[in-house]
Amino acid sequence: MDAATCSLAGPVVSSEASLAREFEECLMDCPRLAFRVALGVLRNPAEAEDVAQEAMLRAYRNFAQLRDRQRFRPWLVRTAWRLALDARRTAARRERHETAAMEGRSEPEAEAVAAAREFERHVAEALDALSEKLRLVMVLAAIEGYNTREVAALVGIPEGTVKTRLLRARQQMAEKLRCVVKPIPAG
Amino acid sequence: MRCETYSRWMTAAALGNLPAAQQSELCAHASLCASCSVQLAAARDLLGGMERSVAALVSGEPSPAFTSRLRARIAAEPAPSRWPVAPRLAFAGAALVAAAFFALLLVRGTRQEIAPPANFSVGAQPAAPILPVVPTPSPAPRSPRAQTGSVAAHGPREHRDSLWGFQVLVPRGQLAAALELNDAVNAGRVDGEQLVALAEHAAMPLEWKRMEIAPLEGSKPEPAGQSASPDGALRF
Repeated sequence: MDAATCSLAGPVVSSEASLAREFEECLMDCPRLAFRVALGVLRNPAEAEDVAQEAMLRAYRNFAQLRDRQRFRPWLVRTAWRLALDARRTAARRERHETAAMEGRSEPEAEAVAAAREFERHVAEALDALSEKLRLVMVLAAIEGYNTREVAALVGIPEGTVKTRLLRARQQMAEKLRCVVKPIPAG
Repeated sequence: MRCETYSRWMTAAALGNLPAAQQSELCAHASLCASCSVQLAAARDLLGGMERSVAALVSGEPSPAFTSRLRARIAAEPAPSRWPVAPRLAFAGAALVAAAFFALLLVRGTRQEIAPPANFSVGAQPAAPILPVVPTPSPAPRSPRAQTGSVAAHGPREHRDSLWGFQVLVPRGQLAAALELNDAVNAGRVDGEQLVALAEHAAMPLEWKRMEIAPLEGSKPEPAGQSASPDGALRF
């Protein structure tokens, strides 16, 4: 191909190629984010992976508008979060979840492991009891230790709001756990 | 203050969300009260354990097959468009609607020919009210088109120059009167003093302007040069 042909065919081909290349870059680190966000809702790695797959596939379909990295990650978080909530609401998935939980209980466990699991179960319940807004910032803050500024960027709200929500979420969860896990009588 | 009150401060104290004055008061009390000291430590432990548990809940990696599975699904997808279909269709639709709107405006604007009023007549068909005679200028010389058989007409108002030439709309049933007027004017048998003004413009002087009548483009010729317009008037 001569230089003239290259210059004519270049823009279209290179734009498509650059789109694919940018998506490849997102494929390197974003699936983990989507997976963990989904895991924060579903607590089931297999289901979380399904949700992350779907979120990434939707990201691929809409990548032309999402190629800006500042927009892509928040979009992915929101999509994975919504998909995970939808998946959780599905009755079939809930039944499977309960079946898996009952199977887990039948296995003999060491006392310490059992206590740890019990505590985790209470934490998960306290997390589920939070409102959606509080739960999202709580989960995101727990993922890879995102700070409040990063969470604010991911959710698209002011950093001060993230701080407030995070504090309220922690306070509500701690109060709930305090009542359930270690009831210490007041002196 | 009772320990029960301090107990309610424990979580906020563990979170570091207690006002400084209360924080120091609680610490001072906990240093003296073993129970509250234990509660404060437990609250801090609980918070730490809670943070660790939440982090554990969201820790984990997608399976190694995740990316390959995703690539396989992407391979089955059509390539992402630089400009997605939905906005493109919306833009095209909006452009189409805008074009149709302006075309409609243009057509309506050119079609707004002013028809002679229903009571405008000559000779055998007298107008209902006999209105004051309005002096008019003498007829202008005939145009070449009028001399070669085209219809030349004088209207009671100034007719609009359309894109296709001059047109005069005549209401149904008054074509004969209009033709008679046309012939009379062309033959010099009618001057301004024989014409009557319009009822609604009785007080206004009529303005006369010579017009050329040309057949509408694309219109099918009808007998006696007539053609029906959509608004029920006849063009000639």
